[in-house]
Amino acid sequence: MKAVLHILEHDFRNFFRYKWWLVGLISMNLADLFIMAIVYNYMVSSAVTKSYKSYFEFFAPGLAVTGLFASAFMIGREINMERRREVHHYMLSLPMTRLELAIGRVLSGGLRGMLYMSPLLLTCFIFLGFPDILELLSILAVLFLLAIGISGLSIAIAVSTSSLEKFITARGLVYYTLFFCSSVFYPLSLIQQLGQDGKFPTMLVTLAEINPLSGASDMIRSFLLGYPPFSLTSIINVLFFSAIFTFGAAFAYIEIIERK
Amino acid sequence: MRAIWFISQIALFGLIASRMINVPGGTLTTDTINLAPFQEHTFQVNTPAHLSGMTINLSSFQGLGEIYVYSPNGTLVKSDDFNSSANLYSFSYDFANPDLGIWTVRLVANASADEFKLYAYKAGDYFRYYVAGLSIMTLYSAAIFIGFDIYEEAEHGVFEYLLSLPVSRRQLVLGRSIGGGLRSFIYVGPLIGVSLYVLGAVNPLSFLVSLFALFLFSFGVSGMSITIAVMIKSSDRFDILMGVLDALIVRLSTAMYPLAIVQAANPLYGGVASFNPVTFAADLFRWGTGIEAIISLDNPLLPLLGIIAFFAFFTFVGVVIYDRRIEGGGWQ
Repeated sequence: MKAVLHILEHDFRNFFRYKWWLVGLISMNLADLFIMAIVYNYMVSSAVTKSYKSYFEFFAPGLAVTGLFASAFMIGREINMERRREVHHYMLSLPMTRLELAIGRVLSGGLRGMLYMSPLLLTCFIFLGFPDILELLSILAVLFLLAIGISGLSIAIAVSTSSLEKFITARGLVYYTLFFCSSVFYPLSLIQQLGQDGKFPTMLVTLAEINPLSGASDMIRSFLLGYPPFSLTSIINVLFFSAIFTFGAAFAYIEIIERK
Repeated sequence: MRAIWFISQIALFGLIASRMINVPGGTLTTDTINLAPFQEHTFQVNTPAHLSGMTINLSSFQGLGEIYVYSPNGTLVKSDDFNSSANLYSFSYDFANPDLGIWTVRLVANASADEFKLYAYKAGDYFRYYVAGLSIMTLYSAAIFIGFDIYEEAEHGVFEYLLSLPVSRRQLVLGRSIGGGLRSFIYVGPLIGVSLYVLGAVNPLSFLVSLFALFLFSFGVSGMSITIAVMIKSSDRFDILMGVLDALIVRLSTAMYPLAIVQAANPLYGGVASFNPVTFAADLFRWGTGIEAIISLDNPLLPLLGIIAFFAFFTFVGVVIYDRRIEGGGWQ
Protein backbone atom coordinates (compact mmCIF):
# COMPACT_ATOMS: atom_id res chain seq x y z
CA MET A 1 0.00 0.00 0.00
CA LYS A 2 2.84 2.38 0.88
CA ALA A 3 4.43 1.72 -2.48
CA VAL A 4 1.18 2.61 -4.25
CA LEU A 5 1.08 5.87 -2.28
CA HIS A 6 4.62 6.69 -3.45
CA ILE A 7 3.55 6.15 -7.05
CA LEU A 8 0.52 8.37 -6.48
CA GLU A 9 2.74 11.11 -5.07
CA HIS A 10 5.13 10.81 -8.03
CA ASP A 11 2.33 11.06 -10.57
CA PHE A 12 0.56 13.92 -8.82
CA ARG A 13 3.81 15.91 -8.74
CA ASN A 14 4.11 15.34 -12.48
CA PHE A 15 0.50 16.37 -12.96
CA PHE A 16 1.05 19.73 -11.25
CA ARG A 17 4.04 20.39 -13.47
CA TYR A 18 1.48 20.95 -16.22
CA LYS A 19 -0.58 23.42 -14.17
CA TRP A 20 -0.57 26.12 -16.85
CA TRP A 21 -1.57 23.63 -19.46
CA LEU A 22 -4.41 22.53 -17.17
CA VAL A 23 -5.55 26.14 -16.71
CA GLY A 24 -5.70 26.43 -20.51
CA LEU A 25 -7.68 23.19 -20.75
CA ILE A 26 -10.15 24.30 -18.06
CA SER A 27 -10.65 27.67 -19.74
CA MET A 28 -11.34 25.87 -23.00
CA ASN A 29 -13.91 23.65 -21.25
CA LEU A 30 -15.56 26.66 -19.63
CA ALA A 31 -15.62 28.53 -22.96
CA ASP A 32 -17.44 25.50 -24.40
CA LEU A 33 -20.05 25.79 -21.67
CA PHE A 34 -20.45 29.54 -21.34
CA ILE A 35 -20.12 30.48 -24.99
CA MET A 36 -20.81 27.51 -27.24
CA ALA A 37 -23.62 25.94 -25.19
CA ILE A 38 -25.31 29.32 -24.59
CA VAL A 39 -25.29 30.13 -28.31
CA TYR A 40 -26.48 26.61 -29.17
CA ASN A 41 -29.48 27.25 -26.86
CA TYR A 42 -30.79 29.45 -29.66
CA MET A 43 -30.26 26.87 -32.38
CA VAL A 44 -31.15 23.54 -30.90
CA SER A 45 -34.38 22.08 -32.27
CA SER A 46 -37.52 21.92 -30.18
CA ALA A 47 -37.24 18.10 -30.19
CA VAL A 48 -34.26 18.46 -27.84
CA THR A 49 -35.51 21.40 -25.78
CA LYS A 50 -38.78 19.52 -25.17
CA SER A 51 -36.91 17.03 -22.98
CA TYR A 52 -34.20 19.35 -21.67
CA LYS A 53 -34.92 22.99 -20.83
CA SER A 54 -31.88 24.21 -22.74
CA TYR A 55 -28.75 22.94 -24.45
CA PHE A 56 -26.70 24.53 -21.67
CA GLU A 57 -28.34 22.26 -19.10
CA PHE A 58 -27.98 19.26 -21.36
CA PHE A 59 -24.30 19.89 -22.07
CA ALA A 60 -23.04 20.77 -18.55
CA PRO A 61 -22.92 17.11 -17.30
CA GLY A 62 -21.36 16.00 -20.59
CA LEU A 63 -18.65 18.62 -20.22
CA ALA A 64 -17.67 17.32 -16.76
CA VAL A 65 -17.33 13.84 -18.29
CA THR A 66 -15.20 15.07 -21.22
CA GLY A 67 -12.95 16.92 -18.75
CA LEU A 68 -12.56 13.73 -16.74
CA PHE A 69 -11.73 11.77 -19.89
CA ALA A 70 -9.11 14.24 -21.16
CA SER A 71 -7.30 14.55 -17.83
CA ALA A 72 -7.40 10.84 -16.93
CA PHE A 73 -5.94 10.11 -20.36
CA MET A 74 -2.86 12.27 -19.63
CA ILE A 75 -1.15 9.48 -17.69
CA GLY A 76 -0.76 7.55 -20.96
CA ARG A 77 1.32 10.31 -22.52
CA GLU A 78 3.68 10.29 -19.52
CA ILE A 79 4.06 6.53 -19.57
CA ASN A 80 4.70 6.55 -23.31
CA MET A 81 7.37 9.22 -22.78
CA GLU A 82 8.95 7.20 -19.93
CA ARG A 83 9.11 4.21 -22.24
CA ARG A 84 10.70 6.18 -25.06
CA ARG A 85 13.26 7.77 -22.72
CA GLU A 86 13.77 4.46 -20.94
CA VAL A 87 12.75 5.85 -17.57
CA HIS A 88 10.73 2.66 -17.11
CA HIS A 89 13.95 0.83 -16.22
CA TYR A 90 14.21 3.12 -13.21
CA MET A 91 10.54 2.55 -12.36
CA LEU A 92 11.04 -1.22 -12.55
CA SER A 93 14.09 -0.99 -10.26
CA LEU A 94 12.07 0.58 -7.45
CA PRO A 95 11.55 -1.58 -4.34
CA MET A 96 7.96 -2.56 -5.04
CA THR A 97 6.17 -5.36 -6.82
CA ARG A 98 5.17 -5.04 -10.47
CA LEU A 99 1.54 -5.24 -9.42
CA GLU A 100 1.91 -2.36 -6.96
CA LEU A 101 3.59 -0.30 -9.64
CA ALA A 102 0.84 -1.03 -12.18
CA ILE A 103 -2.00 -0.41 -9.71
CA GLY A 104 -0.35 2.83 -8.60
CA ARG A 105 -0.14 4.12 -12.16
CA VAL A 106 -3.74 3.23 -13.05
CA LEU A 107 -5.03 4.66 -9.77
CA SER A 108 -3.09 7.91 -10.05
CA GLY A 109 -4.36 8.46 -13.61
CA GLY A 110 -7.93 8.06 -12.36
CA LEU A 111 -7.49 10.26 -9.30
CA ARG A 112 -5.89 13.00 -11.37
CA GLY A 113 -8.90 12.87 -13.66
CA MET A 114 -11.23 13.23 -10.68
CA LEU A 115 -9.24 16.19 -9.38
CA TYR A 116 -9.32 17.98 -12.72
CA MET A 117 -13.01 17.24 -13.24
CA SER A 118 -14.15 18.48 -9.80
CA PRO A 119 -14.44 22.23 -10.68
CA LEU A 120 -16.36 21.31 -13.83
CA LEU A 121 -18.72 19.06 -11.85
CA LEU A 122 -19.16 21.80 -9.25
CA THR A 123 -20.02 24.30 -12.02
CA CYS A 124 -22.56 21.78 -13.28
CA PHE A 125 -24.12 21.49 -9.80
CA ILE A 126 -24.20 25.27 -9.35
CA PHE A 127 -26.20 25.78 -12.52
CA LEU A 128 -28.32 22.61 -12.53
CA GLY A 129 -28.84 22.15 -8.81
CA PHE A 130 -27.20 19.90 -6.23
CA PRO A 131 -28.07 16.21 -6.03
CA ASP A 132 -28.97 14.59 -2.71
CA ILE A 133 -26.22 12.82 -0.80
CA LEU A 134 -26.98 9.34 -2.18
CA GLU A 135 -27.04 10.65 -5.75
CA LEU A 136 -23.82 12.59 -5.15
CA LEU A 137 -22.08 9.47 -3.87
CA SER A 138 -23.36 7.46 -6.85
CA ILE A 139 -22.10 10.15 -9.26
CA LEU A 140 -18.66 10.25 -7.63
CA ALA A 141 -18.41 6.45 -7.50
CA VAL A 142 -19.36 6.01 -11.16
CA LEU A 143 -17.07 8.83 -12.29
CA PHE A 144 -14.21 7.37 -10.29
CA LEU A 145 -14.71 3.98 -11.92
CA LEU A 146 -14.87 5.67 -15.30
CA ALA A 147 -11.67 7.61 -14.56
CA ILE A 148 -9.86 4.41 -13.58
CA GLY A 149 -11.07 2.74 -16.79
CA ILE A 150 -9.93 5.68 -18.94
CA SER A 151 -6.58 5.75 -17.17
CA GLY A 152 -6.23 2.01 -17.84
CA LEU A 153 -7.16 2.46 -21.49
CA SER A 154 -4.56 5.19 -21.97
CA ILE A 155 -1.87 3.12 -20.24
CA ALA A 156 -2.71 0.12 -22.42
CA ILE A 157 -2.32 2.30 -25.53
CA ALA A 158 0.85 3.94 -24.19
CA VAL A 159 2.69 0.69 -23.57
CA SER A 160 1.53 -0.84 -26.85
CA THR A 161 2.80 2.00 -29.06
CA SER A 162 6.49 2.48 -29.64
CA SER A 163 6.59 6.12 -30.80
CA LEU A 164 4.94 9.36 -29.78
CA GLU A 165 3.35 9.72 -33.23
CA LYS A 166 1.72 6.30 -32.99
CA PHE A 167 0.51 7.05 -29.48
CA ILE A 168 -0.94 10.42 -30.54
CA THR A 169 -2.67 8.84 -33.55
CA ALA A 170 -4.14 6.02 -31.47
CA ARG A 171 -5.16 8.51 -28.78
CA GLY A 172 -6.86 10.71 -31.41
CA LEU A 173 -8.83 7.78 -32.77
CA VAL A 174 -9.98 6.64 -29.32
CA TYR A 175 -10.63 10.20 -28.10
CA TYR A 176 -12.81 11.35 -30.93
CA THR A 177 -14.64 8.08 -31.48
CA LEU A 178 -15.61 7.90 -27.81
CA PHE A 179 -16.38 11.64 -27.57
CA PHE A 180 -18.50 12.00 -30.66
CA CYS A 181 -20.14 8.56 -30.52
CA SER A 182 -21.66 9.25 -27.14
CA SER A 183 -24.43 11.28 -25.55
CA VAL A 184 -21.97 13.94 -24.36
CA PHE A 185 -22.88 16.46 -27.08
CA TYR A 186 -26.30 15.21 -28.21
CA PRO A 187 -29.05 12.99 -26.77
CA LEU A 188 -28.65 9.26 -27.27
CA SER A 189 -32.19 9.14 -28.68
CA LEU A 190 -31.03 11.34 -31.57
CA ILE A 191 -28.23 8.92 -32.48
CA GLN A 192 -30.64 5.99 -32.20
CA GLN A 193 -33.14 7.81 -34.45
CA LEU A 194 -30.41 8.39 -37.03
CA GLY A 195 -29.57 4.70 -36.89
CA GLN A 196 -33.23 3.75 -37.40
CA ASP A 197 -33.44 6.11 -40.39
CA GLY A 198 -30.38 4.38 -41.87
CA LYS A 199 -28.33 7.59 -41.74
CA PHE A 200 -25.81 6.36 -39.19
CA PRO A 201 -24.06 2.96 -39.07
CA THR A 202 -25.66 0.51 -36.63
CA MET A 203 -22.23 -0.37 -35.27
CA LEU A 204 -21.66 3.24 -34.19
CA VAL A 205 -25.16 3.44 -32.69
CA THR A 206 -24.34 0.37 -30.58
CA LEU A 207 -21.02 1.93 -29.60
CA ALA A 208 -22.85 5.09 -28.47
CA GLU A 209 -25.25 2.96 -26.40
CA ILE A 210 -22.55 1.01 -24.59
CA ASN A 211 -20.10 3.90 -24.43
CA PRO A 212 -19.24 4.56 -20.77
CA LEU A 213 -19.15 8.32 -21.48
CA SER A 214 -22.84 8.08 -22.48
CA GLY A 215 -23.64 6.09 -19.33
CA ALA A 216 -21.90 8.54 -16.98
CA SER A 217 -23.31 11.70 -18.66
CA ASP A 218 -26.86 10.34 -18.73
CA MET A 219 -26.64 9.22 -15.12
CA ILE A 220 -25.75 12.77 -14.00
CA ARG A 221 -28.56 14.14 -16.21
CA SER A 222 -31.08 11.70 -14.80
CA PHE A 223 -30.22 12.83 -11.23
CA LEU A 224 -30.03 16.56 -11.93
CA LEU A 225 -32.54 17.04 -14.74
CA GLY A 226 -34.81 14.04 -14.32
CA TYR A 227 -34.20 12.95 -17.92
CA PRO A 228 -33.28 10.51 -19.45
CA PRO A 229 -34.57 7.91 -16.98
CA PHE A 230 -31.95 6.32 -14.75
CA SER A 231 -30.59 3.18 -16.39
CA LEU A 232 -28.81 0.47 -14.45
CA THR A 233 -27.54 -1.02 -17.71
CA SER A 234 -25.46 2.05 -18.47
CA ILE A 235 -23.89 1.87 -15.01
CA ILE A 236 -23.07 -1.80 -15.62
CA ASN A 237 -21.44 -0.71 -18.90
CA VAL A 238 -19.21 1.70 -16.96
CA LEU A 239 -18.36 -1.11 -14.50
CA PHE A 240 -17.44 -3.48 -17.32
CA PHE A 241 -15.37 -0.84 -19.09
CA SER A 242 -13.57 -0.02 -15.88
CA ALA A 243 -12.90 -3.64 -14.94
CA ILE A 244 -11.66 -4.61 -18.41
CA PHE A 245 -9.29 -1.68 -18.80
CA THR A 246 -8.03 -1.58 -15.22
CA PHE A 247 -7.00 -5.24 -15.26
CA GLY A 248 -6.04 -5.15 -18.93
CA ALA A 249 -3.79 -2.14 -18.37
CA ALA A 250 -2.21 -3.60 -15.24
CA PHE A 251 -1.45 -6.80 -17.13
CA ALA A 252 -0.15 -4.92 -20.20
CA TYR A 253 1.99 -2.62 -18.07
CA ILE A 254 3.62 -5.52 -16.23
CA GLU A 255 4.08 -7.72 -19.29
CA ILE A 256 5.07 -5.24 -22.00
CA ILE A 257 7.20 -2.90 -19.89
CA GLU A 258 9.24 -5.81 -18.56
CA ARG A 259 9.92 -7.11 -22.04
CA LYS A 260 11.33 -3.85 -23.43
CA MET B 1 -3.92 13.91 -35.27
CA ARG B 2 -5.47 17.04 -36.78
CA ALA B 3 -6.73 15.01 -39.75
CA ILE B 4 -8.39 12.52 -37.38
CA TRP B 5 -9.97 15.42 -35.50
CA PHE B 6 -11.16 16.98 -38.74
CA ILE B 7 -12.63 13.80 -40.19
CA SER B 8 -14.30 12.77 -36.93
CA GLN B 9 -15.75 16.26 -36.56
CA ILE B 10 -17.32 15.97 -40.02
CA ALA B 11 -18.35 12.31 -39.98
CA LEU B 12 -19.57 12.17 -36.39
CA PHE B 13 -20.17 15.55 -34.73
CA GLY B 14 -21.24 17.43 -37.87
CA LEU B 15 -23.53 14.66 -39.06
CA ILE B 16 -25.27 14.10 -35.73
CA ALA B 17 -25.37 17.73 -34.53
CA SER B 18 -26.89 18.87 -37.83
CA ARG B 19 -29.97 16.78 -36.91
CA MET B 20 -30.60 18.77 -33.75
CA ILE B 21 -29.41 22.23 -34.73
CA ASN B 22 -31.40 24.65 -36.82
CA VAL B 23 -29.48 27.27 -38.69
CA PRO B 24 -31.34 30.09 -40.45
CA GLY B 25 -31.35 29.61 -44.22
CA GLY B 26 -33.09 32.92 -44.93
CA THR B 27 -35.71 35.01 -43.16
CA LEU B 28 -39.38 34.41 -43.96
CA THR B 29 -40.90 37.01 -41.64
CA THR B 30 -39.69 39.10 -38.75
CA ASP B 31 -41.90 41.49 -36.79
CA THR B 32 -42.41 43.10 -33.40
CA ILE B 33 -45.71 44.20 -31.90
CA ASN B 34 -46.74 45.97 -28.69
CA LEU B 35 -50.10 44.82 -27.38
CA ALA B 36 -52.38 46.41 -24.80
CA PRO B 37 -53.87 44.14 -22.07
CA PHE B 38 -56.01 41.33 -23.55
CA GLN B 39 -55.42 42.65 -27.10
CA GLU B 40 -54.84 40.15 -29.93
CA HIS B 41 -52.60 40.26 -32.97
CA THR B 42 -52.12 37.94 -35.92
CA PHE B 43 -48.80 37.52 -37.74
CA GLN B 44 -48.73 35.88 -41.16
CA VAL B 45 -45.87 33.74 -42.48
CA ASN B 46 -45.87 33.01 -46.20
CA THR B 47 -44.11 29.75 -47.04
CA PRO B 48 -42.79 29.14 -50.56
CA ALA B 49 -42.95 25.81 -52.39
CA HIS B 50 -40.40 23.02 -51.78
CA LEU B 51 -39.36 24.29 -48.35
CA SER B 52 -37.55 21.53 -46.47
CA GLY B 53 -38.06 23.11 -43.07
CA MET B 54 -39.23 26.19 -41.24
CA THR B 55 -38.69 27.49 -37.72
CA ILE B 56 -40.92 30.02 -35.99
CA ASN B 57 -39.45 31.77 -32.94
CA LEU B 58 -41.73 33.74 -30.66
CA SER B 59 -40.72 35.77 -27.62
CA SER B 60 -42.50 37.90 -25.06
CA PHE B 61 -40.73 40.66 -23.13
CA GLN B 62 -42.88 40.22 -19.99
CA GLY B 63 -43.25 36.45 -20.34
CA LEU B 64 -47.06 36.62 -20.43
CA GLY B 65 -49.59 35.77 -23.12
CA GLU B 66 -50.85 32.97 -25.34
CA ILE B 67 -49.68 31.63 -28.71
CA TYR B 68 -51.71 29.81 -31.38
CA VAL B 69 -50.09 28.63 -34.61
CA TYR B 70 -52.33 27.60 -37.56
CA SER B 71 -51.26 25.82 -40.74
CA PRO B 72 -52.44 27.18 -44.15
CA ASN B 73 -55.57 24.93 -44.02
CA GLY B 74 -56.59 26.50 -40.68
CA THR B 75 -55.61 23.60 -38.41
CA LEU B 76 -54.26 24.58 -35.01
CA VAL B 77 -50.80 22.96 -34.93
CA LYS B 78 -49.20 24.53 -31.85
CA SER B 79 -50.41 26.39 -28.80
CA ASP B 80 -48.49 27.52 -25.73
CA ASP B 81 -48.51 30.03 -22.90
CA PHE B 82 -45.64 32.32 -22.01
CA ASN B 83 -44.99 32.04 -18.31
CA SER B 84 -42.48 34.31 -16.58
CA SER B 85 -42.59 32.33 -13.32
CA ALA B 86 -41.55 29.17 -15.23
CA ASN B 87 -38.94 31.17 -17.19
CA LEU B 88 -40.86 30.62 -20.45
CA TYR B 89 -40.13 33.84 -22.33
CA SER B 90 -39.67 32.30 -25.76
CA PHE B 91 -40.84 29.36 -27.87
CA SER B 92 -39.38 27.85 -30.98
CA TYR B 93 -41.36 25.60 -33.32
CA ASP B 94 -39.81 23.51 -36.08
CA PHE B 95 -41.82 22.28 -39.05
CA ALA B 96 -40.38 19.76 -41.49
CA ASN B 97 -41.67 20.11 -45.08
CA PRO B 98 -44.22 22.81 -44.10
CA ASP B 99 -47.37 23.18 -46.23
CA LEU B 100 -47.24 25.80 -48.94
CA GLY B 101 -49.33 28.90 -48.16
CA ILE B 102 -49.96 31.37 -45.39
CA TRP B 103 -49.35 30.25 -41.81
CA THR B 104 -51.05 32.25 -39.09
CA VAL B 105 -49.60 33.02 -35.67
CA ARG B 106 -52.12 34.51 -33.24
CA LEU B 107 -50.87 36.18 -30.06
CA VAL B 108 -53.12 37.13 -27.16
CA ALA B 109 -51.74 39.48 -24.51
CA ASN B 110 -52.41 38.86 -20.84
CA ALA B 111 -53.53 41.31 -18.17
CA SER B 112 -50.56 43.59 -18.80
CA ALA B 113 -49.23 45.30 -21.92
CA ASP B 114 -46.37 43.42 -23.57
CA GLU B 115 -43.98 43.41 -26.51
CA PHE B 116 -43.94 40.29 -28.73
CA LYS B 117 -41.39 39.35 -31.37
CA LEU B 118 -41.73 36.88 -34.21
CA TYR B 119 -38.85 35.53 -36.28
CA ALA B 120 -39.68 32.91 -38.90
CA TYR B 121 -36.93 31.49 -41.05
CA LYS B 122 -36.21 28.74 -43.56
CA ALA B 123 -34.18 25.85 -42.19
CA GLY B 124 -30.60 25.92 -43.44
CA ASP B 125 -28.22 22.99 -43.63
CA TYR B 126 -26.12 23.11 -40.47
CA PHE B 127 -23.90 20.29 -41.70
CA ARG B 128 -22.61 22.36 -44.64
CA TYR B 129 -22.39 25.43 -42.44
CA TYR B 130 -20.32 23.57 -39.85
CA VAL B 131 -17.99 21.89 -42.36
CA ALA B 132 -17.06 25.31 -43.79
CA GLY B 133 -16.40 26.69 -40.30
CA LEU B 134 -14.35 23.63 -39.40
CA SER B 135 -11.91 24.35 -42.25
CA ILE B 136 -11.26 27.80 -40.80
CA MET B 137 -10.81 26.45 -37.27
CA THR B 138 -8.25 23.95 -38.58
CA LEU B 139 -6.43 26.62 -40.59
CA TYR B 140 -6.28 28.86 -37.52
CA SER B 141 -4.83 26.19 -35.24
CA ALA B 142 -2.28 25.11 -37.88
CA ALA B 143 -1.11 28.71 -38.47
CA ILE B 144 -0.72 29.33 -34.73
CA PHE B 145 1.91 26.57 -34.60
CA ILE B 146 4.71 28.80 -35.90
CA GLY B 147 4.93 30.38 -32.43
CA PHE B 148 5.93 27.03 -30.93
CA ASP B 149 8.70 26.75 -33.55
CA ILE B 150 10.09 30.09 -32.35
CA TYR B 151 10.56 28.62 -28.87
CA GLU B 152 12.22 25.54 -30.25
CA GLU B 153 14.60 27.69 -32.29
CA ALA B 154 15.38 29.80 -29.23
CA GLU B 155 16.08 26.68 -27.19
CA HIS B 156 18.52 25.35 -29.80
CA GLY B 157 20.23 28.69 -30.46
CA VAL B 158 18.86 28.97 -34.00
CA PHE B 159 17.26 32.30 -33.10
CA GLU B 160 20.63 34.08 -32.86
CA TYR B 161 21.66 32.52 -36.15
CA LEU B 162 18.53 33.87 -37.84
CA LEU B 163 19.21 37.35 -36.45
CA SER B 164 22.75 37.23 -37.87
CA LEU B 165 21.53 36.56 -41.43
CA PRO B 166 21.95 39.38 -43.97
CA VAL B 167 18.22 40.20 -44.06
CA SER B 168 16.39 43.08 -42.43
CA ARG B 169 14.17 42.47 -39.40
CA ARG B 170 11.17 43.42 -41.53
CA GLN B 171 12.05 40.82 -44.13
CA LEU B 172 12.62 38.26 -41.40
CA VAL B 173 9.21 38.80 -39.76
CA LEU B 174 7.39 39.05 -43.08
CA GLY B 175 9.14 35.92 -44.35
CA ARG B 176 8.28 33.98 -41.23
CA SER B 177 4.65 35.12 -41.25
CA ILE B 178 4.22 34.20 -44.90
CA GLY B 179 6.18 30.96 -44.43
CA GLY B 180 4.06 29.99 -41.42
CA GLY B 181 0.87 30.87 -43.28
CA LEU B 182 1.88 28.97 -46.42
CA ARG B 183 2.97 25.98 -44.41
CA SER B 184 -0.37 25.83 -42.62
CA PHE B 185 -2.17 26.26 -45.91
CA ILE B 186 -0.31 23.33 -47.45
CA TYR B 187 -0.99 21.33 -44.31
CA VAL B 188 -4.70 22.13 -44.23
CA GLY B 189 -5.09 22.10 -48.04
CA PRO B 190 -6.22 18.45 -48.29
CA LEU B 191 -8.71 19.01 -45.47
CA ILE B 192 -10.11 22.07 -47.27
CA GLY B 193 -10.36 19.82 -50.32
CA VAL B 194 -12.47 17.39 -48.27
CA SER B 195 -14.69 20.31 -47.19
CA LEU B 196 -15.14 21.43 -50.78
CA TYR B 197 -16.14 17.92 -51.76
CA VAL B 198 -18.72 17.88 -48.93
CA LEU B 199 -19.97 21.39 -49.73
CA GLY B 200 -20.39 20.68 -53.44
CA ALA B 201 -19.78 22.86 -56.49
CA VAL B 202 -18.41 26.37 -56.04
CA ASN B 203 -18.39 29.60 -58.03
CA PRO B 204 -14.74 29.75 -59.24
CA LEU B 205 -14.42 33.55 -59.04
CA SER B 206 -15.89 33.90 -55.55
CA PHE B 207 -13.83 30.95 -54.44
CA LEU B 208 -10.58 32.51 -55.68
CA VAL B 209 -11.38 35.71 -53.77
CA SER B 210 -12.12 33.76 -50.60
CA LEU B 211 -8.97 31.67 -51.10
CA PHE B 212 -6.91 34.85 -51.33
CA ALA B 213 -8.57 36.05 -48.10
CA LEU B 214 -7.75 32.73 -46.42
CA PHE B 215 -4.08 33.14 -47.41
CA LEU B 216 -4.02 36.57 -45.81
CA PHE B 217 -5.83 35.19 -42.78
CA SER B 218 -3.28 32.42 -42.25
CA PHE B 219 -0.37 34.88 -42.73
CA GLY B 220 -2.04 37.19 -40.20
CA VAL B 221 -2.52 34.38 -37.67
CA SER B 222 1.15 33.33 -38.11
CA GLY B 223 2.20 36.97 -37.60
CA MET B 224 0.07 37.15 -34.46
CA SER B 225 1.56 33.92 -33.14
CA ILE B 226 5.13 35.16 -33.79
CA THR B 227 4.37 38.53 -32.19
CA ILE B 228 2.95 36.96 -29.02
CA ALA B 229 5.77 34.39 -28.83
CA VAL B 230 8.45 37.09 -29.07
CA MET B 231 6.62 39.31 -26.59
CA ILE B 232 6.23 36.84 -23.77
CA LYS B 233 9.38 34.71 -24.30
CA SER B 234 8.09 31.89 -22.12
CA SER B 235 6.86 28.70 -23.73
CA ASP B 236 4.66 27.85 -20.72
CA ARG B 237 2.90 31.21 -20.76
CA PHE B 238 2.64 31.07 -24.54
CA ASP B 239 1.06 27.63 -24.33
CA ILE B 240 -1.60 28.74 -21.87
CA LEU B 241 -2.26 32.03 -23.66
CA MET B 242 -2.72 30.25 -26.98
CA GLY B 243 -5.07 27.75 -25.33
CA VAL B 244 -7.22 30.53 -23.86
CA LEU B 245 -7.05 32.58 -27.07
CA ASP B 246 -8.02 29.55 -29.14
CA ALA B 247 -10.96 28.86 -26.82
CA LEU B 248 -12.21 32.42 -27.08
CA ILE B 249 -11.36 33.41 -30.64
CA VAL B 250 -12.95 30.31 -32.19
CA ARG B 251 -16.04 30.18 -30.00
CA LEU B 252 -16.67 33.92 -30.24
CA SER B 253 -16.79 33.79 -34.02
CA THR B 254 -19.12 32.58 -36.75
CA ALA B 255 -17.09 29.40 -37.29
CA MET B 256 -19.77 27.36 -35.49
CA TYR B 257 -22.88 29.56 -35.54
CA PRO B 258 -24.28 32.53 -37.50
CA LEU B 259 -23.65 36.06 -36.24
CA ALA B 260 -27.36 36.81 -35.77
CA ILE B 261 -27.63 33.89 -33.34
CA VAL B 262 -24.51 34.92 -31.42
CA GLN B 263 -25.91 38.44 -31.08
CA ALA B 264 -29.27 37.10 -29.94
CA ALA B 265 -27.57 34.88 -27.37
CA ASN B 266 -25.47 37.66 -25.87
CA PRO B 267 -24.85 41.15 -27.31
CA LEU B 268 -21.32 41.15 -25.86
CA TYR B 269 -20.49 37.89 -27.61
CA GLY B 270 -22.04 39.31 -30.78
CA GLY B 271 -19.92 42.47 -30.52
CA VAL B 272 -16.70 40.46 -30.20
CA ALA B 273 -17.74 38.08 -32.99
CA SER B 274 -18.42 41.00 -35.35
CA PHE B 275 -14.76 42.11 -35.22
CA ASN B 276 -13.15 38.69 -35.02
CA PRO B 277 -10.82 37.71 -37.91
CA VAL B 278 -12.08 34.11 -37.65
CA THR B 279 -15.58 35.48 -38.39
CA PHE B 280 -14.26 37.34 -41.43
CA ALA B 281 -12.49 34.24 -42.73
CA ALA B 282 -15.43 31.89 -42.05
CA ASP B 283 -17.96 34.23 -43.69
CA LEU B 284 -15.76 34.74 -46.73
CA PHE B 285 -15.10 31.02 -47.10
CA ARG B 286 -18.85 30.32 -46.98
CA TRP B 287 -19.45 33.10 -49.46
CA GLY B 288 -16.74 31.68 -51.72
CA THR B 289 -18.16 28.17 -51.52
CA GLY B 290 -21.65 29.38 -52.35
CA ILE B 291 -23.42 28.75 -49.05
CA GLU B 292 -23.82 32.44 -48.26
CA ALA B 293 -27.62 32.04 -48.23
CA ILE B 294 -27.23 30.56 -44.76
CA ILE B 295 -25.30 33.53 -43.43
CA SER B 296 -26.85 36.28 -45.58
CA LEU B 297 -23.54 38.06 -46.13
CA ASP B 298 -24.52 41.48 -47.46
CA ASN B 299 -21.15 42.69 -48.59
CA PRO B 300 -18.10 40.40 -48.89
CA LEU B 301 -15.86 43.46 -49.15
CA LEU B 302 -16.20 44.21 -45.42
CA PRO B 303 -14.77 40.90 -44.14
CA LEU B 304 -12.13 41.05 -46.87
CA LEU B 305 -11.03 44.48 -45.63
CA GLY B 306 -11.12 43.15 -42.07
CA ILE B 307 -8.73 40.34 -42.97
CA ILE B 308 -6.39 42.70 -44.85
CA ALA B 309 -6.33 44.98 -41.78
CA PHE B 310 -5.65 41.98 -39.51
CA PHE B 311 -2.77 40.81 -41.69
CA ALA B 312 -1.28 44.32 -42.02
CA PHE B 313 -1.58 45.01 -38.29
CA PHE B 314 0.20 41.89 -37.15
CA THR B 315 2.91 42.17 -39.77
CA PHE B 316 3.60 45.77 -38.75
CA VAL B 317 3.34 45.11 -35.02
CA GLY B 318 5.43 41.96 -35.48
CA VAL B 319 8.28 43.98 -37.02
CA VAL B 320 8.18 46.62 -34.26
CA ILE B 321 8.04 44.03 -31.47
CA TYR B 322 10.85 42.00 -33.06
CA ASP B 323 13.04 45.12 -33.18
CA ARG B 324 12.31 46.15 -29.61
CA ARG B 325 12.29 42.80 -27.83
CA ILE B 326 15.05 40.91 -29.62
CA GLU B 327 17.64 43.40 -30.78
CA GLY B 328 20.87 43.44 -28.80
CA GLY B 329 19.80 40.96 -26.17
CA GLY B 330 18.97 37.86 -28.16
CA TRP B 331 16.24 35.65 -26.79
CA GLN B 332 16.92 36.20 -23.10
